Amino acid sequence: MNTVLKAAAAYLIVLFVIRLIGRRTASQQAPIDMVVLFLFGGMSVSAILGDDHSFTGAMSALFTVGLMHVSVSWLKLRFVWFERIVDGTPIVVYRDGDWDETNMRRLRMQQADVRTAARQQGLDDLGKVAVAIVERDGKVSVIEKA
Amino acid sequence: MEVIHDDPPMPQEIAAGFYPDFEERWRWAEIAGRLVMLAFVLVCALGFLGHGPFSERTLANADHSISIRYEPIVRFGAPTIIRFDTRVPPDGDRVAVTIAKDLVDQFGLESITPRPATWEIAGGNIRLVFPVQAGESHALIRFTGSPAFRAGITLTARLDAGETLTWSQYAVP
Repeated sequence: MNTVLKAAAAYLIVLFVIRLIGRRTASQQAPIDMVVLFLFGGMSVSAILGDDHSFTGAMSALFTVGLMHVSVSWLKLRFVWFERIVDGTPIVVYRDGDWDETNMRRLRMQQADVRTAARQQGLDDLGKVAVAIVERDGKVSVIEKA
Repeated sequence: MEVIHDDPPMPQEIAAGFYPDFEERWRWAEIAGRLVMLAFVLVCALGFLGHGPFSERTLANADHSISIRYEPIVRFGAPTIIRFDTRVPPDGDRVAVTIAKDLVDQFGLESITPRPATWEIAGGNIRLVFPVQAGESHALIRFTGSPAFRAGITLTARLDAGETLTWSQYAVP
C-alpha cells in the first residue's frame, strides 16, 4: 500500500514539477535539460521504493505509474481545462519579424532555438518565417510565409 | 465521452496567439509553484524538517541529571542522533540510563556509543549501564537510529536517581 501511494504521489509531483519548471525541459536535449530528467528519475526511484528491493515492490510501483498515466490521459480527454494545465497551450514567440520577448523570457527560449527550427524546416532566412510557435511539448514549429 | 472540442479554426488560433488568457493565468500558477518549491527547499536546507543547521534542540530534565541534544523533526528512515549528557553519581564508576522501549523499537536504534556494559528489562523499559572512568562528572552517550514511526512519538529517559526526561519527536515522510 505504501509503495502504491508513494508511486502515485511521485507521479503527480514529478508531472507538476516538470510543468512548473517550464516546457523546454520536456523537449530540448541540451545537457542542462538532460541532467534534470536523469536526476528526477533516479531520485524518484529511491523515494518510492526505499529499502524495498523486492520484485513485488518494483512491479506494484510500475503498475501504479502505468495506471496513473492512463488516468491522467483519460482526464485530459474528458476535461479541456485539465489538458491545458497538464500540457499547456501553444505560444507564439515570433510573428512577421517581431519577437515576443515576454513569451520568450517566460519560456526561457532563445533566438537560436527558433533559428534552429527554421533551418530544420529548410529556411535560411527568418524573413521567410511568418510565425514561430512553441508547441505544448516544447518543440518550435515554424510556419512559412505564403 | 466527447473528445472533439469546439476549438476555433487553426488560422484564427494562430492569429489570436492561441490561449493567451490561460497562459497568463498559468504564469501566475507557475510563479506560485516555484515560490512553494523555493520555500520548501529553504525549510529543508535550514533543517526545519531535519538534517540541517537549525534541526537540533537541547532539552534537560528538571534536576539537570540528563540533557539531550536531538532533532524534534526527523525524517522517516533517515539516520538521526540523540546525544545524552548525563551526570555521573559522585565517586561512581558507572552510569545507568533507563530508556523507553520505543527508543529501541520505534526510533529504530542502530547503535549506542559507547556500548553499554549491560542491558536489562526494567518495568517495560530498558536499563543500560555504562562504565565510567573514576573522576568523571559527566558521561556523553550517543544513540543513533533510523526512525520507523509515523507522525509523533514521545520518548523518555532517566537516571536511577533522577527525574524522568520526556521529549517528543515527529517523523516526516
